[in-house]
Amino acid sequence: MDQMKDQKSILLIEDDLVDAMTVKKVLKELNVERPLTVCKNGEEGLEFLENNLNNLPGIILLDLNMPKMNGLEFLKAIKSHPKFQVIPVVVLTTSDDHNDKLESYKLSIAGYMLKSFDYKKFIEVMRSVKHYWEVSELSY
Amino acid sequence: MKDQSENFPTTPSLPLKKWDGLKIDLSEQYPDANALLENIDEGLIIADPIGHIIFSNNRVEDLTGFHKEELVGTLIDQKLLSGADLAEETKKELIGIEHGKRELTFENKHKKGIAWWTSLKASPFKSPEGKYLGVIYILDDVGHYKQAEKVVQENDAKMRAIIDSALDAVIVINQEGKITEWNSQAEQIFGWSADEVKGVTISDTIIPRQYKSSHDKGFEHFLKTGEGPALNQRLEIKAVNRLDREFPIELTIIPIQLGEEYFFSAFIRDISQRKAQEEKREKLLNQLAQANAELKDFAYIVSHDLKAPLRAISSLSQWISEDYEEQFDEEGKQQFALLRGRVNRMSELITGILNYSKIGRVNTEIYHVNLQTLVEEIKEMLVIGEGIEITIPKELPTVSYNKVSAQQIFQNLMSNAIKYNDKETCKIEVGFTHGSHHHTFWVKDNGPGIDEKYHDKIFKIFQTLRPRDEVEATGVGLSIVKKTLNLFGGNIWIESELDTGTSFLFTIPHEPQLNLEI
Repeated sequence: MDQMKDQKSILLIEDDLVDAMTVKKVLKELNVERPLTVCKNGEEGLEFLENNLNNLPGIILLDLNMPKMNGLEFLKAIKSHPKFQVIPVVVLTTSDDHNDKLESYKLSIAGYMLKSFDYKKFIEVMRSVKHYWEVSELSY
Repeated sequence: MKDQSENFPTTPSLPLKKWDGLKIDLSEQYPDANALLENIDEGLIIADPIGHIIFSNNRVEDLTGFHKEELVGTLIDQKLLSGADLAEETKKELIGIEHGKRELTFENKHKKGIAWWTSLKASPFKSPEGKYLGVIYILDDVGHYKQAEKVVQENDAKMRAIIDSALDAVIVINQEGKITEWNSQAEQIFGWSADEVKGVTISDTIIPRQYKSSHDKGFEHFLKTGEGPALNQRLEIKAVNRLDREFPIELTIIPIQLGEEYFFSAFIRDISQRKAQEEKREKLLNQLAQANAELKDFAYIVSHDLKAPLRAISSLSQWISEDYEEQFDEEGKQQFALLRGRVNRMSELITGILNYSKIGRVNTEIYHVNLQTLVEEIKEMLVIGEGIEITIPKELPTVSYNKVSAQQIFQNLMSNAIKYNDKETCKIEVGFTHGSHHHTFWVKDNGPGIDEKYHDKIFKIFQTLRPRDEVEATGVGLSIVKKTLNLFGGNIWIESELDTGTSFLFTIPHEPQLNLEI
């Protein structure tokens, strides 16, 4: 089971190229070797999940401010989906707006992380996320 | 008096039987009767049918200066009315009146030339058989009435002048609802002249059609019950002018009771212009409020969106400097360090705008905040290492405030005091006094002091007194402190002496009221 969990991919939904690069870089730095898929907005994220050729990811890292379908809209869509609602979602955003946090937690997120302005600090944030998925059990 | 003169000839107690055509002797049967007539308080003159005076009493002499002996045998116009301000014909008509009565008031001259106001009543008297016997004249001094009348006339003229010069329309209506007064301002405002409207109801002149029935009902209700909710207060209602144009007025109706009768005075002001201005002002205020709200949102959105590319610049520059470290010489490394410093500063500035724009949008809930605990916590956080002494009184009060805001205020002021301190030991003192409406707190330091000319400037956003390369600061902290204090109805000011130190004093009201227009 653990072995299988380690194989599960990471789905990053992020429109900013540099932010996506940052996540990739951090994962490399933290020696995370699981496959990473990047989607540029909520719509692309849904398409990826709905494609039967793809396995369900072990975790979704979700940005909130995105074009077309933003993070909260994406959350609403998957949390009402019988198959996708069990996937843990960690919000990764610059918004420390109280409403964004409130709405996200109402939609059963696993965590709400702020993208630190400082890269070094961001590494620490991501280290916590890594610890989380390493110790957390999945239902699928 | 009138009765006496009318009844005199027929009163049985008087000795008319002794009348011989020319002489009356009252003393024979009624010795006191003559004395009575001599001494009554009115001037009494009796003339025979042709008009010759046959009797004149003491009072006549008092009033006219003519002794009875001078008058007896003369006609009334010869001496008595010689100086009267009357037409000769009128005087003649008073002689030998056989029918009817005369009553006149005129200015007469005393024998000595002094004018006095005379009331003269003349009536014929007849024998019981109806024979015309002569004329009785009764004289009186009515100077005091004339004086009173003059005062009344003057007062009337004064009142009229006041009412006519009023800038408000003044309308008086009587108990029947009819107009009795209508000043010149009313003429101007409504276009009706006083003559046209006197005796007409206001319902038919200035009350708009749609309000007529309620006006009439209210009027009746008042007369029945004495209750009138619209009375004795300023009302803003609609009125119509002569051309049936409707316009807003301010109206006050005061009921006045005089004896059993009511009358109503109404003061009216045309407020068309004021209304138009009010509407204009309200519209502007709405626009302003909207613009303000948009600006707040704008600041928030802009600062949020500006951060994303900046973060990218920050990350990329850091990676470049790390990944290609060997390829940079010392100068290149220094420039990269500067670049990263500036990027950080810009990030701080944007965070500043964001936080400033948040004031009033978030953290406005008011709870009890124990400032003793709060300030102690800040002290613990700030005092690291030697050289910082923070004195806090034992009994800082608990206030009604937003906790995050209170923390921002104290933390900003206290950390500023440390940050800019130039002494070997940084001494900070927190204190307060209790006022009737608010507490006044202070944060006092022994720092470099702030020149008076900067006392306003330092509270403006992005204003710093030292170059940012010397002391890294955004210049947002104090502007946030001031805006937050203002938000809750308080204020902040400075007392400072150069080289000695600065006190920041601020107020926290006992009952803070959110002022969202800051």
